[in-house]
Amino acid sequence: MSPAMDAAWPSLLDVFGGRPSARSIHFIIAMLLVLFFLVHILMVVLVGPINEVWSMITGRYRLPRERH
Amino acid sequence: MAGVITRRKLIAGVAAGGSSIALSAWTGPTYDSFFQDNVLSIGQWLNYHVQRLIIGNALAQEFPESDMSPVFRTNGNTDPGTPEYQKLAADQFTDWLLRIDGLVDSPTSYSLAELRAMPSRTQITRHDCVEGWSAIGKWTGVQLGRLLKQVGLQPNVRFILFHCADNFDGTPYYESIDLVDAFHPQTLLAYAMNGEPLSIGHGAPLRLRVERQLGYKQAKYVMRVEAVALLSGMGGGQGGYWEDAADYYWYAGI
Repeated sequence: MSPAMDAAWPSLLDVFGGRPSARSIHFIIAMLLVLFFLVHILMVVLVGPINEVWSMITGRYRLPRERH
Repeated sequence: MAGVITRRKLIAGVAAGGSSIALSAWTGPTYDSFFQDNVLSIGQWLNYHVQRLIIGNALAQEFPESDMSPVFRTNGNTDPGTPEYQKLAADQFTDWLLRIDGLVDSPTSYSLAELRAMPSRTQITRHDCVEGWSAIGKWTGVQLGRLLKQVGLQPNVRFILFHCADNFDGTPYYESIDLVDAFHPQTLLAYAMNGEPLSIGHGAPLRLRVERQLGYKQAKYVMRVEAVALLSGMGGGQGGYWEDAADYYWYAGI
Protein backbone atom coordinates (compact mmCIF):
# COMPACT_ATOMS: atom_id res chain seq x y z
CA MET A 1 0.00 0.00 0.00
CA SER A 2 1.09 3.58 -0.51
CA PRO A 3 2.49 5.59 2.41
CA ALA A 4 -0.62 7.79 2.56
CA MET A 5 -3.10 4.89 2.48
CA ASP A 6 -1.04 3.03 5.07
CA ALA A 7 -1.52 6.02 7.36
CA ALA A 8 -5.28 6.01 6.79
CA TRP A 9 -5.87 2.26 6.97
CA PRO A 10 -2.83 0.44 8.39
CA SER A 11 -4.89 -2.75 8.78
CA LEU A 12 -5.03 -3.07 4.97
CA LEU A 13 -1.47 -4.36 5.13
CA ASP A 14 -2.50 -7.12 7.55
CA VAL A 15 -5.53 -8.03 5.45
CA PHE A 16 -3.31 -8.67 2.42
CA GLY A 17 -0.45 -10.19 4.39
CA GLY A 18 2.06 -7.39 3.78
CA ARG A 19 3.17 -5.49 0.73
CA PRO A 20 4.76 -8.22 -1.40
CA SER A 21 1.72 -10.46 -1.16
CA ALA A 22 -0.59 -7.47 -1.74
CA ARG A 23 1.33 -6.79 -4.96
CA SER A 24 1.04 -10.43 -6.05
CA ILE A 25 -2.70 -10.53 -5.32
CA HIS A 26 -3.13 -7.24 -7.18
CA PHE A 27 -1.34 -8.38 -10.32
CA ILE A 28 -2.89 -11.86 -10.41
CA ILE A 29 -6.41 -10.44 -10.12
CA ALA A 30 -5.63 -7.66 -12.60
CA MET A 31 -4.40 -10.21 -15.15
CA LEU A 32 -7.46 -12.41 -14.56
CA LEU A 33 -9.71 -9.39 -15.19
CA VAL A 34 -7.88 -8.60 -18.42
CA LEU A 35 -8.24 -12.22 -19.48
CA PHE A 36 -11.95 -12.14 -18.60
CA PHE A 37 -12.45 -9.03 -20.76
CA LEU A 38 -10.51 -10.45 -23.70
CA VAL A 39 -12.41 -13.76 -23.70
CA HIS A 40 -15.80 -12.12 -23.43
CA ILE A 41 -15.08 -9.49 -26.08
CA LEU A 42 -13.88 -12.28 -28.36
CA MET A 43 -17.12 -14.17 -27.76
CA VAL A 44 -19.21 -11.10 -28.65
CA VAL A 45 -17.20 -10.59 -31.83
CA LEU A 46 -17.54 -14.24 -32.84
CA VAL A 47 -21.30 -14.30 -32.33
CA GLY A 48 -21.79 -11.13 -34.38
CA PRO A 49 -21.01 -7.88 -32.60
CA ILE A 50 -23.85 -5.70 -33.89
CA ASN A 51 -26.64 -8.17 -33.17
CA GLU A 52 -25.08 -9.05 -29.81
CA VAL A 53 -24.58 -5.47 -28.53
CA TRP A 54 -28.04 -4.52 -29.83
CA SER A 55 -29.53 -7.41 -27.85
CA MET A 56 -27.79 -6.23 -24.68
CA ILE A 57 -29.52 -2.85 -25.01
CA THR A 58 -32.95 -3.83 -26.31
CA GLY A 59 -33.32 -7.42 -25.18
CA ARG A 60 -34.26 -8.46 -28.74
CA TYR A 61 -32.02 -11.05 -30.29
CA ARG A 62 -32.33 -11.62 -33.99
CA LEU A 63 -32.09 -15.32 -34.77
CA PRO A 64 -30.47 -16.40 -37.99
CA ARG A 65 -32.88 -17.47 -40.71
CA GLU A 66 -33.32 -21.20 -40.64
CA ARG A 67 -31.43 -22.98 -43.34
CA HIS A 68 -32.87 -26.08 -44.98
CA MET B 1 -25.07 -12.40 -41.24
CA ALA B 2 -22.78 -15.19 -42.16
CA GLY B 3 -19.47 -14.17 -43.70
CA VAL B 4 -19.27 -10.70 -42.10
CA ILE B 5 -16.31 -11.82 -40.05
CA THR B 6 -14.70 -15.05 -41.08
CA ARG B 7 -12.55 -17.00 -38.71
CA ARG B 8 -9.51 -16.23 -40.86
CA LYS B 9 -10.14 -12.46 -40.75
CA LEU B 10 -10.62 -12.63 -36.99
CA ILE B 11 -7.36 -14.44 -36.41
CA ALA B 12 -5.52 -11.97 -38.68
CA GLY B 13 -7.09 -9.04 -36.85
CA VAL B 14 -6.22 -10.35 -33.40
CA ALA B 15 -2.66 -11.02 -34.56
CA ALA B 16 -2.31 -7.49 -36.00
CA GLY B 17 -3.79 -5.88 -32.89
CA GLY B 18 -1.71 -7.98 -30.55
CA SER B 19 1.52 -7.30 -32.38
CA SER B 20 0.92 -3.54 -32.36
CA ILE B 21 0.35 -3.65 -28.59
CA ALA B 22 3.49 -5.76 -28.18
CA LEU B 23 5.43 -3.31 -30.37
CA SER B 24 4.34 -0.28 -28.36
CA ALA B 25 5.29 -2.07 -25.16
CA TRP B 26 8.65 -2.91 -26.69
CA THR B 27 9.48 0.65 -27.75
CA GLY B 28 8.21 1.97 -24.44
CA PRO B 29 5.70 4.75 -23.91
CA THR B 30 6.69 7.75 -25.96
CA TYR B 31 6.71 10.98 -23.98
CA ASP B 32 3.62 12.98 -24.78
CA SER B 33 3.33 16.25 -22.92
CA PHE B 34 -0.23 16.81 -24.13
CA PHE B 35 -1.27 13.49 -22.61
CA GLN B 36 0.69 14.30 -19.45
CA ASP B 37 -0.80 17.79 -19.05
CA ASN B 38 -4.40 17.04 -19.99
CA VAL B 39 -5.07 13.45 -18.98
CA LEU B 40 -2.58 12.22 -16.39
CA SER B 41 -2.75 15.51 -14.47
CA ILE B 42 -6.48 14.97 -13.90
CA GLY B 43 -5.66 11.65 -12.26
CA GLN B 44 -3.08 13.33 -10.07
CA TRP B 45 -5.51 16.05 -9.01
CA LEU B 46 -8.19 13.48 -8.18
CA ASN B 47 -5.75 11.25 -6.32
CA TYR B 48 -4.45 14.16 -4.23
CA HIS B 49 -7.88 15.46 -3.22
CA VAL B 50 -9.51 12.09 -2.64
CA GLN B 51 -6.59 10.98 -0.45
CA ARG B 52 -6.68 14.21 1.51
CA LEU B 53 -10.40 13.58 2.11
CA ILE B 54 -9.89 9.97 3.22
CA ILE B 55 -6.72 10.42 5.21
CA GLY B 56 -7.39 13.68 7.05
CA ASN B 57 -4.78 14.09 9.73
CA ALA B 58 -4.10 10.38 10.25
CA LEU B 59 -0.63 9.54 11.56
CA ALA B 60 1.76 7.33 9.65
CA GLN B 61 2.34 4.00 11.35
CA GLU B 62 5.09 4.01 13.98
CA PHE B 63 7.09 0.90 14.82
CA PRO B 64 8.88 -0.56 17.84
CA GLU B 65 12.69 -0.45 17.91
CA SER B 66 12.81 -4.18 17.16
CA ASP B 67 11.42 -3.47 13.67
CA MET B 68 14.21 -1.08 12.70
CA SER B 69 16.09 -2.04 9.54
CA PRO B 70 19.66 -3.21 10.23
CA VAL B 71 20.77 -1.42 7.06
CA PHE B 72 19.11 1.75 5.90
CA ARG B 73 20.46 2.40 2.44
CA THR B 74 21.45 5.87 1.32
CA ASN B 75 19.91 6.91 -1.94
CA GLY B 76 20.00 9.80 -4.39
CA ASN B 77 22.86 12.15 -3.61
CA THR B 78 25.01 10.85 -0.76
CA ASP B 79 27.27 13.91 -0.47
CA PRO B 80 26.65 17.39 -1.91
CA GLY B 81 30.45 17.65 -2.41
CA THR B 82 30.47 21.42 -3.00
CA PRO B 83 33.29 23.47 -1.39
CA GLU B 84 30.76 25.40 0.75
CA TYR B 85 29.22 22.19 2.03
CA GLN B 86 32.60 20.56 2.69
CA LYS B 87 33.60 23.59 4.75
CA LEU B 88 30.41 23.33 6.83
CA ALA B 89 30.87 19.60 7.32
CA ALA B 90 34.51 20.03 8.37
CA ASP B 91 33.34 22.18 11.29
CA GLN B 92 30.56 19.72 12.25
CA PHE B 93 28.06 22.26 10.90
CA THR B 94 28.70 24.73 13.74
CA ASP B 95 28.67 27.58 11.19
CA TRP B 96 25.60 26.24 9.44
CA LEU B 97 22.37 28.19 9.69
CA LEU B 98 18.89 27.18 8.63
CA ARG B 99 17.21 30.16 7.05
CA ILE B 100 13.40 30.35 7.18
CA ASP B 101 12.06 33.14 5.01
CA GLY B 102 9.74 33.95 2.12
CA LEU B 103 6.20 35.06 2.98
CA VAL B 104 6.74 35.06 6.74
CA ASP B 105 6.35 37.78 9.37
CA SER B 106 9.83 37.43 10.85
CA PRO B 107 12.45 35.68 8.74
CA THR B 108 14.75 33.81 11.12
CA SER B 109 17.97 31.81 11.03
CA TYR B 110 18.53 28.88 13.35
CA SER B 111 21.81 27.21 14.24
CA LEU B 112 21.99 23.46 14.69
CA ALA B 113 22.47 23.96 18.46
CA GLU B 114 19.33 26.09 18.62
CA LEU B 115 17.31 23.47 16.77
CA ARG B 116 18.62 20.72 19.05
CA ALA B 117 17.64 22.80 22.11
CA MET B 118 14.02 23.03 20.96
CA PRO B 119 11.34 20.49 21.94
CA SER B 120 11.86 17.46 19.71
CA ARG B 121 9.89 14.54 18.38
CA THR B 122 11.25 11.04 17.82
CA GLN B 123 9.46 8.59 15.58
CA ILE B 124 10.22 5.17 14.11
CA THR B 125 8.68 5.10 10.67
CA ARG B 126 8.99 3.38 7.35
CA HIS B 127 10.66 5.20 4.47
CA ASP B 128 9.09 4.13 1.17
CA CYS B 129 11.13 4.77 -1.94
CA VAL B 130 9.54 5.31 -5.35
CA GLU B 131 11.95 2.60 -6.56
CA GLY B 132 10.06 0.01 -4.51
CA TRP B 133 12.30 -0.60 -1.50
CA SER B 134 11.53 0.51 2.03
CA ALA B 135 13.39 0.75 5.33
CA ILE B 136 12.42 1.50 8.92
CA GLY B 137 14.42 4.10 10.80
CA LYS B 138 14.24 6.31 13.86
CA TRP B 139 14.11 10.05 13.25
CA THR B 140 14.52 12.86 15.75
CA GLY B 141 13.95 16.49 14.96
CA VAL B 142 11.91 19.64 15.35
CA GLN B 143 8.34 19.64 14.13
CA LEU B 144 8.21 21.87 11.07
CA GLY B 145 4.88 23.32 12.23
CA ARG B 146 6.50 24.59 15.42
CA LEU B 147 9.12 26.55 13.42
CA LEU B 148 6.53 27.89 11.00
CA LYS B 149 4.42 29.17 13.91
CA GLN B 150 7.50 30.91 15.33
CA VAL B 151 8.26 32.80 12.14
CA GLY B 152 4.55 33.41 11.39
CA LEU B 153 3.15 32.56 7.95
CA GLN B 154 1.43 35.26 5.94
CA PRO B 155 -2.16 34.51 4.84
CA ASN B 156 -1.32 33.91 1.17
CA VAL B 157 1.17 31.09 1.85
CA ARG B 158 0.16 27.81 0.22
CA PHE B 159 3.39 25.81 -0.01
CA ILE B 160 6.62 25.31 1.89
CA LEU B 161 9.76 25.00 -0.25
CA PHE B 162 12.95 23.27 0.88
CA HIS B 163 16.21 24.40 -0.71
CA CYS B 164 18.96 21.79 -0.49
CA ALA B 165 22.76 21.86 -0.70
CA ASP B 166 22.99 18.96 -3.17
CA ASN B 167 22.53 19.07 -6.92
CA PHE B 168 22.31 16.78 -9.92
CA ASP B 169 24.70 18.00 -12.65
CA GLY B 170 24.42 21.54 -11.37
CA THR B 171 20.63 21.57 -10.96
CA PRO B 172 19.89 22.09 -7.27
CA TYR B 173 17.68 19.65 -5.42
CA TYR B 174 14.56 21.10 -3.88
CA GLU B 175 11.19 19.89 -2.73
CA SER B 176 7.87 21.34 -1.59
CA ILE B 177 4.84 20.32 0.45
CA ASP B 178 1.44 21.81 1.15
CA LEU B 179 0.40 23.27 4.51
CA VAL B 180 -1.56 20.17 5.55
CA ASP B 181 1.68 18.17 5.54
CA ALA B 182 3.76 21.13 6.81
CA PHE B 183 1.71 21.28 10.01
CA HIS B 184 1.28 17.49 10.38
CA PRO B 185 2.68 16.41 13.76
CA GLN B 186 5.02 13.84 12.15
CA THR B 187 6.54 16.30 9.69
CA LEU B 188 10.01 16.96 11.07
CA LEU B 189 13.20 18.72 10.21
CA ALA B 190 15.31 15.84 11.48
CA TYR B 191 18.86 16.24 12.80
CA ALA B 192 19.27 12.71 14.17
CA MET B 193 18.73 9.22 12.78
CA ASN B 194 18.71 6.00 14.78
CA GLY B 195 19.82 7.95 17.87
CA GLU B 196 22.90 9.51 16.24
CA PRO B 197 23.55 12.80 14.47
CA LEU B 198 22.42 12.59 10.86
CA SER B 199 25.24 11.24 8.68
CA ILE B 200 26.27 12.97 5.48
CA GLY B 201 24.88 10.05 3.48
CA HIS B 202 21.46 10.55 5.05
CA GLY B 203 21.39 14.33 4.68
CA ALA B 204 23.43 16.06 7.39
CA PRO B 205 22.88 18.40 9.05
CA LEU B 206 19.11 18.49 8.52
CA ARG B 207 16.60 16.63 6.41
CA LEU B 208 12.89 16.74 5.93
CA ARG B 209 10.63 13.89 7.07
CA VAL B 210 7.15 13.87 5.54
CA GLU B 211 6.06 10.44 6.66
CA ARG B 212 2.96 10.06 4.51
CA GLN B 213 4.79 10.58 1.23
CA LEU B 214 7.47 8.78 -0.79
CA GLY B 215 11.22 9.06 -0.33
CA TYR B 216 11.92 11.74 -2.91
CA LYS B 217 9.96 14.20 -0.74
CA GLN B 218 12.34 13.60 2.21
CA ALA B 219 14.74 16.33 1.10
CA LYS B 220 18.27 15.99 2.46
CA TYR B 221 20.81 18.75 3.20
CA VAL B 222 18.09 21.35 3.85
CA MET B 223 19.66 24.82 3.89
CA ARG B 224 16.68 27.07 3.58
CA VAL B 225 12.92 26.84 4.11
CA GLU B 226 10.83 29.25 2.10
CA ALA B 227 7.12 29.98 2.42
CA VAL B 228 5.57 30.65 -1.00
CA ALA B 229 2.18 31.24 -2.59
CA LEU B 230 3.06 29.52 -5.88
CA LEU B 231 5.42 26.76 -6.98
CA SER B 232 6.03 28.33 -10.39
CA GLY B 233 8.86 30.57 -9.19
CA MET B 234 11.35 27.78 -8.49
CA GLY B 235 13.25 25.53 -10.90
CA GLY B 236 10.99 24.10 -13.58
CA GLY B 237 7.90 25.12 -11.61
CA GLN B 238 6.69 21.62 -10.79
CA GLY B 239 7.53 21.80 -7.09
CA GLY B 240 10.61 19.60 -6.89
CA TYR B 241 13.76 18.38 -8.60
CA TRP B 242 12.34 15.02 -9.73
CA GLU B 243 9.00 16.61 -10.56
CA ASP B 244 10.87 18.93 -12.97
CA ALA B 245 13.40 16.41 -14.26
CA ALA B 246 11.31 13.28 -14.71
CA ASP B 247 7.62 14.20 -14.30
CA TYR B 248 7.30 12.65 -10.85
CA TYR B 249 3.96 13.51 -9.32
CA TRP B 250 4.19 16.43 -6.93
CA TYR B 251 1.87 14.70 -4.47
CA ALA B 252 3.78 11.60 -3.43
CA GLY B 253 1.21 9.98 -1.13
CA ILE B 254 0.51 7.83 -4.25
